[in-house]
Amino acid sequence: MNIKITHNWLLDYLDTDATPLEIQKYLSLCGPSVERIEEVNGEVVYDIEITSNRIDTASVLGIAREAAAILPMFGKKAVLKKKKYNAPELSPSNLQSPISIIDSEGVCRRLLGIVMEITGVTSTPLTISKRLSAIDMRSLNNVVDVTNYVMTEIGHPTHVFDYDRINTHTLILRHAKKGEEMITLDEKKYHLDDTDIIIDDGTGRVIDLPGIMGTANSVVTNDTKRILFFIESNDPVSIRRTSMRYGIRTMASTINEKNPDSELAYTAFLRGIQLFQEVAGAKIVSPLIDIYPKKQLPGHIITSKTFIDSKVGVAIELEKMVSILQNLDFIVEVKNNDELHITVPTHRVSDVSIPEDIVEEVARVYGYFAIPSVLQTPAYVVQPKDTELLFQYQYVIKTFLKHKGYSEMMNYSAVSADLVQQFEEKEESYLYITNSISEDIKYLRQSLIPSLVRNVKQNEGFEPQLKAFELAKTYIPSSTSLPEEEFKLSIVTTVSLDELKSVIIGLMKELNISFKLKEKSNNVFLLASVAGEIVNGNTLFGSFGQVKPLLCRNLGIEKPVYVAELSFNELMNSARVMPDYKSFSQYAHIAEDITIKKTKTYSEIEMNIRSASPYIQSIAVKDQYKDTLTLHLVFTNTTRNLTEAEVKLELDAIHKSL
Amino acid sequence: MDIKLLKETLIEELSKVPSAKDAEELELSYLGRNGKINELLKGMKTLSIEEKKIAGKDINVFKQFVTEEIKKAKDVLYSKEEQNIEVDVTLPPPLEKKGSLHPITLAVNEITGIFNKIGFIRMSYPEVDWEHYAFEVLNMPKTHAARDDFETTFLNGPTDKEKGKMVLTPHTSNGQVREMERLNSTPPIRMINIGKCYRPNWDATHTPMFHQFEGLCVDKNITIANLKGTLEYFVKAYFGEFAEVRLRPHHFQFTEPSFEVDITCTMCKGTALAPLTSAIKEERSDGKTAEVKRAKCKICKSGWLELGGTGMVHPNVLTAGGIDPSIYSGWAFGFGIERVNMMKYGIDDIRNYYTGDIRFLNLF
Repeated sequence: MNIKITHNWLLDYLDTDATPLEIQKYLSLCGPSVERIEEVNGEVVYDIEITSNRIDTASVLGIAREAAAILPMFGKKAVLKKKKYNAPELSPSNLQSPISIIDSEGVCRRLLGIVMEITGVTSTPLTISKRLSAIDMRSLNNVVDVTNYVMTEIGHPTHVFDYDRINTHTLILRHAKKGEEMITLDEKKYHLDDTDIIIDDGTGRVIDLPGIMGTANSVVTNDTKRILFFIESNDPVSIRRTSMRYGIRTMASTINEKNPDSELAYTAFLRGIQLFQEVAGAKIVSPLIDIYPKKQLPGHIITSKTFIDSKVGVAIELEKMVSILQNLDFIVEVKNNDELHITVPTHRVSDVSIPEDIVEEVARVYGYFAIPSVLQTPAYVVQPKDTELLFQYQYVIKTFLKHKGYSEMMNYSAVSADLVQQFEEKEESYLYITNSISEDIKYLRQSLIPSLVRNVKQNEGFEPQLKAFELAKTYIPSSTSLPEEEFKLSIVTTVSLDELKSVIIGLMKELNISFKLKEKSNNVFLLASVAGEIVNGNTLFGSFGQVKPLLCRNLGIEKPVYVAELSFNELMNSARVMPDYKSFSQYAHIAEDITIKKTKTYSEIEMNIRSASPYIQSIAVKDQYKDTLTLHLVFTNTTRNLTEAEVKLELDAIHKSL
Repeated sequence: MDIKLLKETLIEELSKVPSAKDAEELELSYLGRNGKINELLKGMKTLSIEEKKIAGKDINVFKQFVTEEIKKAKDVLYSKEEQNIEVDVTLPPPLEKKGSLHPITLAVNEITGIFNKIGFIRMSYPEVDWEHYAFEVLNMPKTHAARDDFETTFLNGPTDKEKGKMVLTPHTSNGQVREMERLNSTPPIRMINIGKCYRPNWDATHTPMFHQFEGLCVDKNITIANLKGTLEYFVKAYFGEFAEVRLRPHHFQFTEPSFEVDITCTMCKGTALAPLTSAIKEERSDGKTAEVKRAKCKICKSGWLELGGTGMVHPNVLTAGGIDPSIYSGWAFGFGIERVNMMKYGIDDIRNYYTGDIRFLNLF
């Protein structure tokens, strides 16, 4: 979260000679990050990022406290002006307005309330409204503005009711009933859940969503005569749950869910009463109610200079450590010139609980910039072989395809229901995102083909001859455990089937994998008559072929699209850096052409020829005409020269085998 | 045949020969197998031994003359012809289509290499993981407000009794405790984990899928100084020697202390000023213009750019990974790859990364 405060407001709590730019620079280096300084109506305004652990700094007071600890480290004068707000003097004769607050379930950590009679709901004095508008808070009236002013200055949210609109003058804190109705002060209706905490005014009416937002039926109006000033210290978990459930993200809920100090609630209460007296002529007409069953106590941590030095990596003088901590309101007792017995102030208890937290406090104010940069001592950690191969072959494959003119795609890991349907798949068989930001990315891919075919469609106008690939995880659901995350390599082209086959064959050769192309494939996206598999024995590397024209038409593609999808793991497991070495033949190579009737697939013919003759060096297709095939065969023997007669015998054997 | 006559003929012929190719032919007609020199030699058969001696010597002198003259003529002709060749070498030849690697892949390769050199091994961990690894072991119990920073993407997969719901990982930090477990809770750990992450943000500067690289170092005596040393090593190797590192206080549940890392702005090199070309010029009284004020750097405004989050591994995270925080300590960081690409190469529209637009991919 970010807060805004003005420079002049900060000076109410800080005596300093630092300029706004210096404050921005030094605070950002050692404490809260001052992201911007802007000037609004002559006021210098800081825009400050507050991290979720430092809700104690989300106020003028909190920033002043940080500044008082940090600025002196840079030679700047900075002293926190400690303000004491006294408890109001109550004269019993005036306390005629009954009020009772009941928290029998113990849902709040502290409850503070007091009734005041005001002179009227009017506009706010300029001193207050000017500051509020400079920090983007709309000035409403003198009463509501005080609550916002106190929250910004002290850091604890506050609330004010129209006392006379609380029917029985009783506030009952309780869990809501399921379905119970509530209308917030911005006139929105909500149906509550039984884990929400509300305030009931004794008639069963919901008159507040405490810590989050007030309701329309109890807020101050222009006619309000008496107000109930009310602060509660809530359970942060419950605040967060309710505020997230209804999407009611007010400044109050943002602070309350981060566990503000319940001691601070009292400071805010006293400051608020003082301001109501100043700007609304408030007179106290009820006793001060303070229900505080479990007082927030300071924390205690024992650590040492040795420990801190060992985590920071540089020796910091003990005196410096102590003064840094003291400037941050910690109480420090040094023992044996090393041990630090530290008392943590209540406003830091939720964040500072272990010695490492003390390391942070000391190191940040000491200055991270003052710590040297030293590489750690090297250590050898073995990378698992399969992990090494995973990255090695991803690199080899991607680089090969790139050099073959293919572009690497990275698509989202999830696709839309539309795309699933266009590929005639069932959504139920996919793992899907239950709270997806967009319907476009919902179903986790089990194949990369649909995304790549979509890429073809998207690029039709720019690149009719597309050559692209993607190497990414697919997610195969399991009924009991995490999905199997399987890397797939998919290649797409609109050029031709030959182009696709040639890049596949090139890739297999680059990886030194023995393989065969086989007819038919189980891949449901491929046209049965133009589909094959890349195999070696029982190993199936993947499928290739033409995408079913029906699926293409579903995406509005008329031209044929060719794809291959391969298992990256199978490729990786079979790949070799070097091929199996066989020395080349020094003896004569004899070439013969044969023409045969094509009664089987080329793969089968080739296999037959190779098993029929041990002297085959290479086989190539020379010509194809109707159902005949002319092959160019080269024979050689690695130990002596073959004779013409011997080759003739080989040819006979080959013819026979076919 | 008369050598003298032949010589004159040759000189005459050479003066007229039009091309180097014709000179080659002329050479053949004198020096070839059936050339005039051989013919002269054949004509010596009828001569006496004494005459042969004299004639032989004359023929040799003549042959040498022929060889030299023809070579001279050829050289002149060849060099004339070479001078006449006119080619526009800048004309593009027929080109093969250029393929491309995705800019993420390029960065991943570069980053992996940089960390490899200081002994960090690249690992790979699930993108779909249990809440347990994505949050609980990272010191973020279910009710913690810090989970807001990682608005979770839930999946419809089964729920694990101990490890909770199935999520798409919002960061690569789920690899931290997984790496500790892989090593049987025994440091040293030197890991770089690069992977896809998912968060429900989709606007000009966010895509719901993005990439992070995560560093994790656990050992005895690991300090903030070590973290600074490693970050400095990385940014100088990746961005260049000019790059300096700055740590600022921040908060993450899984590190203590936590830092935000800034590096010297890659555009203005830390000056916080816009390039000279956009300097505001002012007319001076003597008519010359002088540079009076340079505009602020559009990228950084302050001379620094935010790189990402880092910190010292929280003792609870070490404990969750079975490592004793009283013996070991460590640091971790997680940076966005899209972000470092933007900072280093100025690829500022990250929405193009995952749309499959070939016009974008062809740029790499």
